[in-house]
Parts: sequence; C-alpha cells; structure tokens
Amino acid sequence: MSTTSRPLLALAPVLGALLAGCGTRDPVWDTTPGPLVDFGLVGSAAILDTSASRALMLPVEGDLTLSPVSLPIGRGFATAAPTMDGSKLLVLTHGDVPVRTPADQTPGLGVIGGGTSPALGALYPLASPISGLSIDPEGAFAVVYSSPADVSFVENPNELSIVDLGRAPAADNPTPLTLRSFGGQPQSFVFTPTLHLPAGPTRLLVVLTDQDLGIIDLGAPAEGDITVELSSSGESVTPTAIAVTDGPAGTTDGAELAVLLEDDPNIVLIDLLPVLPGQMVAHSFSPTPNIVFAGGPPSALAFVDTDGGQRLGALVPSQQNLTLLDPATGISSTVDLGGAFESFTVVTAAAGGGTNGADVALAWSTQSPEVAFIDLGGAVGTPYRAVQVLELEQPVAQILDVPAPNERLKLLVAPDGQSFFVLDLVARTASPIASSTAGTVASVAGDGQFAWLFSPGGTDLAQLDLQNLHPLNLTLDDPISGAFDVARRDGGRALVAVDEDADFGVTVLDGTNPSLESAVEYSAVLLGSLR
Amino acid sequence: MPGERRWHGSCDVRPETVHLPGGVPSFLMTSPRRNDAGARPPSLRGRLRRRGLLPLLGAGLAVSAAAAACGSSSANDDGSGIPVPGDYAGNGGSCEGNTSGGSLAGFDAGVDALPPETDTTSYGAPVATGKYVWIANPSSGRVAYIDATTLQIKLVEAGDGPTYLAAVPDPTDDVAIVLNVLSLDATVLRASASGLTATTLPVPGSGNTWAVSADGHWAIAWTDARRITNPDPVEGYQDIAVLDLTPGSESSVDLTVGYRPVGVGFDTAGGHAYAVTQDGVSVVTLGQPPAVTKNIPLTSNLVDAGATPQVAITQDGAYALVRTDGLSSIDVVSLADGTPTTVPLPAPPTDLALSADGKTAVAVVRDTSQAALLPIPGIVADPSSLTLVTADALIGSVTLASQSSIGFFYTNALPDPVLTVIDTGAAMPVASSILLRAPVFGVFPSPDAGNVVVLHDALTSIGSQFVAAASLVPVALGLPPKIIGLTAPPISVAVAPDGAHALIAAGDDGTGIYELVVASMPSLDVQILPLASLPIAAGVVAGANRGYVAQTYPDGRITFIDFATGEARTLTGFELATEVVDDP
Repeated sequence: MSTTSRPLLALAPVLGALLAGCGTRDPVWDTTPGPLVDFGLVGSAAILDTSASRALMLPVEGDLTLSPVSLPIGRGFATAAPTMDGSKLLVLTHGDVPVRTPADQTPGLGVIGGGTSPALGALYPLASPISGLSIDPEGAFAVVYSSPADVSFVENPNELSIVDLGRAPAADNPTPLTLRSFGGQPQSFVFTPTLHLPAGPTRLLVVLTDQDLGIIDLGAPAEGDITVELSSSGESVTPTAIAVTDGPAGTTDGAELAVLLEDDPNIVLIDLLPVLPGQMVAHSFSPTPNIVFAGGPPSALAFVDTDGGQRLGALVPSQQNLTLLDPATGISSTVDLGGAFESFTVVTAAAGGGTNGADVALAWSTQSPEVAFIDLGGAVGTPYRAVQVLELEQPVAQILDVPAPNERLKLLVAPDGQSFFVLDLVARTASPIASSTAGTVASVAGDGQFAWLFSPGGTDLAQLDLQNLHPLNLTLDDPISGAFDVARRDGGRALVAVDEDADFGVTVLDGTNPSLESAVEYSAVLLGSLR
Repeated sequence: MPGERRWHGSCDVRPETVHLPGGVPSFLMTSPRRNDAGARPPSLRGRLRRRGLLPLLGAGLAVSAAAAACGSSSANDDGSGIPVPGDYAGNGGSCEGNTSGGSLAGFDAGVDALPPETDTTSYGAPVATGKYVWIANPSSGRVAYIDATTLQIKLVEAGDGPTYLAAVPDPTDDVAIVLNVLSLDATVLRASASGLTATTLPVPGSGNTWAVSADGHWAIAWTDARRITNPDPVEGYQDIAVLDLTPGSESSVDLTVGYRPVGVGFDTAGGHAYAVTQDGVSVVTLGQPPAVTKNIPLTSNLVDAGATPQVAITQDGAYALVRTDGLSSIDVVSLADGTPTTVPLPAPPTDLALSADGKTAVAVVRDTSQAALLPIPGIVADPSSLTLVTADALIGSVTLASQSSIGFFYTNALPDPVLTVIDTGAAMPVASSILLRAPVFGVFPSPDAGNVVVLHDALTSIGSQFVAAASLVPVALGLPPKIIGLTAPPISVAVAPDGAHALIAAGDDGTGIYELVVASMPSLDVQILPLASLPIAAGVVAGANRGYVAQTYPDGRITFIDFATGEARTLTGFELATEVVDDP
C-alpha cells in the first residue's frame, strides 16, 4: 500500500498551533466532528461534516490523490440526498433556530454540483425549518415537507415547498403550498414522468397521504393540489404506491395513475381527462377515479405492454399470480407465477426486447428463493407459456441495476447480505456470488463494468468484474464505512473508501485495476480542508 | 295441460331492454307456477324463468312509457300472473313476452311434461333516459347519474335506501324517480341544462315497483307481492302512491286498490290508471286529487279465487282483455260498467298481447297452432269477428314489435327451432316460418320488427356443448340468421331503438364467465367482450349511441360500449368520482 500521504494529518498540529496563536480560533475546532454523512456522486465523494456546516467534496485526480473542496452548507443540517444520477447533492438545512439576529441563517435547500469539480449551486430559501426531502428521479424538482423528526411548537404537516431545480431561486421558487386535507398527512411523494395532459405535456407530483392523494401540476404548482379521496364509504384506505402511464404507445390522451391500497384487492385507477364544459375546477385536467379488482391485495403495480395491449400489472402474492387488468374495461387475466412474488419491474430493453413489442417483467421475492421472467407478449393470449422461473439459493431483498454496457445484468442481493446473484436478463442465468461476511454491501460502478462489495466496519473489499464475474479481493488497512465509485478528473475511475469510525480516513483505489500498491490513503481528511 | 314455459323480455323506456334471470339468484325472485310442480329439467329453460316484469297491458293501454316504447309484446300466463305494465323497478321499464299452456296434437306428452313456469325479477339495475344512465345505491342513499356521452359520473343525494328507479319520459329534461324504501318517500330527479334538482315526495306505503305514464305526468309506486319471499296471506299490498310529477307542483296521494296488485298502468289520455289485482281492476281517476273510483271484477271465469288471469287493458282504458288458463276463450270486460264479452276460441289460448296501435289483440292457441286476431273494439260487438291464422309450426307465445304490427310466434314449451312471423295488421294475414338452428326460448324484436334477436336454450337436444345461444335474424331483408354460441346463460338483452344494435349479456358466477355480445344489424357483425363481473342488466342510451351493461360489484360497475367505435369502457366505484376536490 502506498503511504505517500497522510499529509493532512501531519499538518493538523501546525494548523492548530497557528489558529491558537492568532487568538481567533474558529469555533469548529471546539466542535466534535460528526455525525458524518457520506455520498458517492458522479465525480466525487461527499462527506457532510454537519457540525462544521460544510460538505467536504473529494474529487480524485488521475494519480488517485484527492483534491478536497470544502463547501459551506449552512447551519442546522437536516438531511441531504443525491439526485438519482449523482450529478447533484441536495442539502436541507434549518439555519439558526430560532432566528435572533439579521446575521442568523434561515432554512434553505442548497445544491452542490457532484462532478469532478464540485461547486456550490443554488440555495433555495425556505419558510420553515422542516426536514423532509424528496427528490425527483429526473433531478428536476424537489419537495420539502414536514417530517416526523420535526418538533416545532406549531407545525403544519401538510405544508410543502416545491423547488424547481432548473430555475434560480425566485419569489415563486420554491412554491409554498399547503395540501388540502381531509385529515390526511403526506407519507410519500411520486414525481411522474412527462404526461400528455389536455393542456399539454407536464409533470405531476403525486402526494400519497395516509388516506388520499394530492395531485400537483409541477408546471403550475401555485394552482394548488387536486385531492382525490380514495374511499366514498368512509372506510379507511391507505395508498402505498402508484404506477403511472402516459397511455399506450402512440397515444397522447391516455395518461393514467394506478393507486395501490394497503391490504386491499381493489386498485384505484385515475384517468387524467379533459375538463368538461361547465366544470368549475382550478386545473386543466380532471382526475377521474375508477376501480379495478385484482383478485387479492397486490404488492406491486406497473403499467405494462402485453400482447393484448397496455395493461396494469398487479402482483398478487396471495394468488401467486400477476393479474393483468385492462384499464378500460377492468377485465383481468392472470399469469400464474407458481410462487408468491412481491416485487416486479419491467426489464424489456435490458432483456433484449419482448415478443411482438410487448414487455418482459422480472419478479422477485424476499421470501421465496426464485425470480421469474414474465414474457408479457404471451401473457394475455397464452399465459401458460409466459413465465420462466429461475431457482436461486436465497430470496432477493434488493435488485441493483447495471449501467451500460452491461445493462442486461442485474445484481441481486439476498437478505442476509452474503449471497449475491448476477442475473443475465438475456441469457436468463443467475450466477451466484458469495461473501464470507453477513451484511456485505454491494454497489455497481457508474461505468457498468464492475460491482464493489464491502463489509461495513470490516476491512474487506472486493471488485467484481461484471464481464467475467471474477472477484478481486482486497484488504484495506482501515475499516470501511462507505465505498463510492467515482469518475476521476482524468477520465478514469476510482473507488473512494471512507472510514467514518476511526480517524475519518479515506483510501483511494484505482476503479478499474485496484491494487493496494497503487492505493492512496488519507487520514483525518476533515482536518485538511479547514480554513 | 300445463302452461308453456314463459319468459319475459323487457325494454327500457327508450331503448329496448330485456332482463333474463339466469345466474342472478340474489337479484331475482322466483315463484313456481301453480300448475307445474317440480319436474323442471336443469336447462336454460329451467333457469330463464318468467320475470316478474309480467305480461304487459300491451298496446291496448299505454300502460307506461315502457309499454309505449315496447309497443305490444307477448304476454302469457303462468297460471298466477296477470299481465301488467312494464316494470320500472329493476330495469327502467320493460315490456314482456311470454307463452303459456296448450299443446299441439301429437305433442301432448311432451307438453304435459313441461317444467313449471316461474316469475323472476331483477333489482338494482340502472335505468336510462335521454343521455343519462341512473343507478341507485341503497347503502349510501345516493343516485349516480352518468352522462353516457362523456361518461362523467355525478351523484345526487336521495332519501334513505333509494332502491327502485324508473325513468320518467320528459320532452326536455332527463328525469328519473327513485323509491326510497327506508325513508318511505320518493325522490324525483330532474337533470336539465341548468343542473339537477331533487324533489322528495312521501310514499307512506313504500313499494317495490313503479308505473309511469307515457307523458311523464304521473307515477305510481306499488308493491308487487311476487317480489316478496313468502308474503303473509294477510299482507295485501294494497297501498299505492300516486305521484303528480308536474314540475314545480309535485305531490303524492296514498290510495288503496284491490288485493295484491300485479300490474298498474295508465290510459293514453292520462285520465285514469288501472291496477290489476286479485279483486279485479281498480280504476284510479287521475284528478286533483287522484282517487280510486271503482273496481271491475274479473272473476267470472276464474278457476279459483287465488288465481289471477292474464289481463291486457286497451290504450283508451275501455276494455280489459282476460285470458284464463284452461278456458277456450278470451273475455273482454268493459271497464266502464264491467260488462263481459266472451270470445270463443278453438282451444285454450296460451298467450295474449295487444298490437302497437291498439287495434288488434293477439291470442295464441297452441293446441291448434293458431294465432287469433281480435279487432278492437269490434270484437265486443261481434265476438265472432276474429281472424284465425294457422302456423306451420307449433306456436304458443307471441312477441309483438313495439312500432310494428308484425308479431313473432314460437313455443318454448318444448324444443322447437321454428320462428313464425305474422303481420297482425295485414288485411289477409298469413304465417311464414323461419327455421333456426336451435330451440327458441325468447324473441326480442327491434321496434320496427326489421331485425330480431332470438335466444335459444335446450341446446343439449341438438347435441351442442354451448350453455345457450342467440340468433340474429334480419327479418326485413330475409337474410339467413346468424347463430352465436354463448358460454354462459344470458341474463339481459337490449335492442337499440333504431334496431341497429343489440346487446346480449351473459354470465355465470359458477364458472366465472361473464360476457357481452354486441351485435350490429343487419350486417350481423358480432363482437364478444368479456366482462369483469356478473351482468345485471343491459341497455341502450340512444342519445349517446352507446350501450351499457350494469354488473354486480359492491361499489357499482357499468360498462359502456360505443356503437360507433366498438370501444368498451368500464366505470367502477361510482361514488369515488365525487371524491375529487379541485376548487377553483
């Protein structure tokens, strides 16, 4: 292992002495570091030093040295999350609570660029120090909401701030909004893809409360929400997930939502129809609910293309089938899966395409050691030949996508964190990968070539070549709390292994050909960038 | 001789609709024929029993909007049924056809072995007006009305337990009336360009059936005892409520008629209503206020006091025509003074109906396979002035088109595939036969009689594996019929007023097969659509060029079919539609 560094650790006493000598020692030196929060972004690892109200960004040079960048995040850290593509890190802060002086900070949502040259982006001021943050999968919007962790004297649980991340802060950005409530409170948020609604293409934010839905047009959030109650008889129903479609291919008027209800065999379909003449409403579309019966409580929903046209797929574990519902007629057909699968996802493109343009779905279970390929091109007309089941040694707790060029692969993670399977969606094979340590964490490199596995708190690290499934085992000097594959500034890749528990050390390895010989270790990285 | 099995078609106020009871036991009330105990084979014939919709008063009396829409239809007797006007309770009005009794020489043994007749009636089905379909939800106290053009659902609060709906003819608005069985009142729902109004009127005696005058001025709520399981003999169900539906001055009056009415209807002039009961015909004068002004007994030829013959009342309310099982005659009773005129027939008639124009009463004499055409009112002055038309095949039932003098004759007392057609209004009527490919069970003509939907049963007799079948018969064009196999028992048939489309809803909870046949005529194109649950009733919303089929589902379910495109759209959970809040 290379020990060319630990330079920051060596400088620490000097820095301390200098600061003490000046008599203006930064209060941060009197603050115990932590808790730390770390993330892997596209071009750097990020360590949020919350007590110092900063983000330490760790881009990697071609020689595996770090070029740390310290960025202020504001005081009163609440939460942070990266966008799905890793290009940005969103940091929510409460500011100073209470605000006593003009110099005190107010709540805000900060954006940090996550590339190889990290930089502060916009800071969106917020009205209230609340802690819930949900980010659009496309990275265009975020919503800030009151979370159970918020303990202000008086709170409005239905108060939201919708942030358009593509626009600079302005009087109307963020957009404050209080959901119309019939007693419900937000539980989760779903950002839809672009839907072709009567007034044109737009995106929606669907708020799942504990009893109904709120639908917000992200193109005009100030218009408020449309409340869709999910029960007309007063009985309690709780939405737990939704599926979204913009309608069958080639159509522009079939936008629809499907709402999964907790322990309920009924699914509420919501057509987003034009407003009828004379209808006095605030929005240019009219959610029109309908009910379809799935035969049993579904565990997962998705709109899928089948040989019979577009269907709503509902996975019904109690019936061990996938129920395919025609949204227009409510007619159902079932695909017997032979097992109680709980989750499914559409994998058509990764699987090389489906029959007659129909989808291919992958179903899995946390209880049963198998996965099923469902060929939806034969699901309605001939359901008996639609399913191919692969037996595994363990059930599946998590499925990790693999980027191109190996998008045909999925990395399956068993609940025990010791069994992994590399699933080839084209060959329909499942190659087992075993770890000697329970709770092993896996991640997939951004270039899709490798997977990384490590045991939190341990020193074992492995690179798995997704082409030949060869594991390269490495043992670091320090325990690993996080391992992040990032792009280097020279275009290569690096793995940044972070040790939060010891001296906040970092080990940087080459992401393609990792070796302990070329690795660079840093200790006490938090100290190095203090000014 | 046991009566011929009888069934009833039904038709909505504007679209023709027929509800068949197969497979919907919870929605049907069944009572065996008194003269046929047991011995019913487990065939469609056995399942598709006569509905409580009853033989209608026929064309002679514009008994209701339904009757007006359906024109005359066949009526037959099961030994206990008196022909009554269309039934609005379950299906928005109906017109019925059925058959009864009699046998052809040489077929006696088979006819004698016929299964018993049964009356059945469906509940909870929607009704259609100009462009709306109305559906009551007894649990929530609301009535959903669906614009069949836009499929937009709206709800209106009714009373407590809104259950029995009827469409009310109106020249400008869409109007329906619902009987609230728990709050003992009725809600008149009027949808106009300015919105919907709901007016509540007391109905102290409650009821389970509506009769509505053809002009929509009057409605009568009454109780059909045949819809009540094991009614106590002391319960006469003699209370009726007469509702004046004049907009802005609605009112109701509670009246008493004879013991256990089986049918209520109106004359075309709107001056009187008639309740056919076991005590005779109770005449209601529709004045201010309405009152029961007399009762005309019909019992002179009754076999026993508990029996009710088949009765048809002429459109002008002048006469009641009475057919009694086992008697070789038709009695024509003056409703002015009760004077009876007996019209002798060659053998006991098995069915009785009045033509659409009210000028001809049609009695079917199965023993001689003849149709007796009685001129109205000439038959009173000259009981021998009838015309007998002999068919080439066995006939025991008649269904008359609602806007034509053409009648369709057949028998379902034994497997017989022949449909006989007679123009009852012709100067020299003749019978022509159409050979179908399976035994006839029921006939549903288009209003102009140009096309006919024929239901078949007893398919095992021809070696078929299908549960049932239907034939589309382009009568006017004289083209060969098209037969369609059904994989579930038919439950409801609807024929569009223009005759261009027909719906056949079929289903069986036992097999889980639910389907809808959408037929185009005269092209005979057929589209078979699966349904999500058991059909209750099919209908046509002429103003929207859509058909519909209501289905059983706790939150309500209805499938609309666009006749122009063939596209089907199912709406489920009507009340959720009002749970969307988007205040401007």
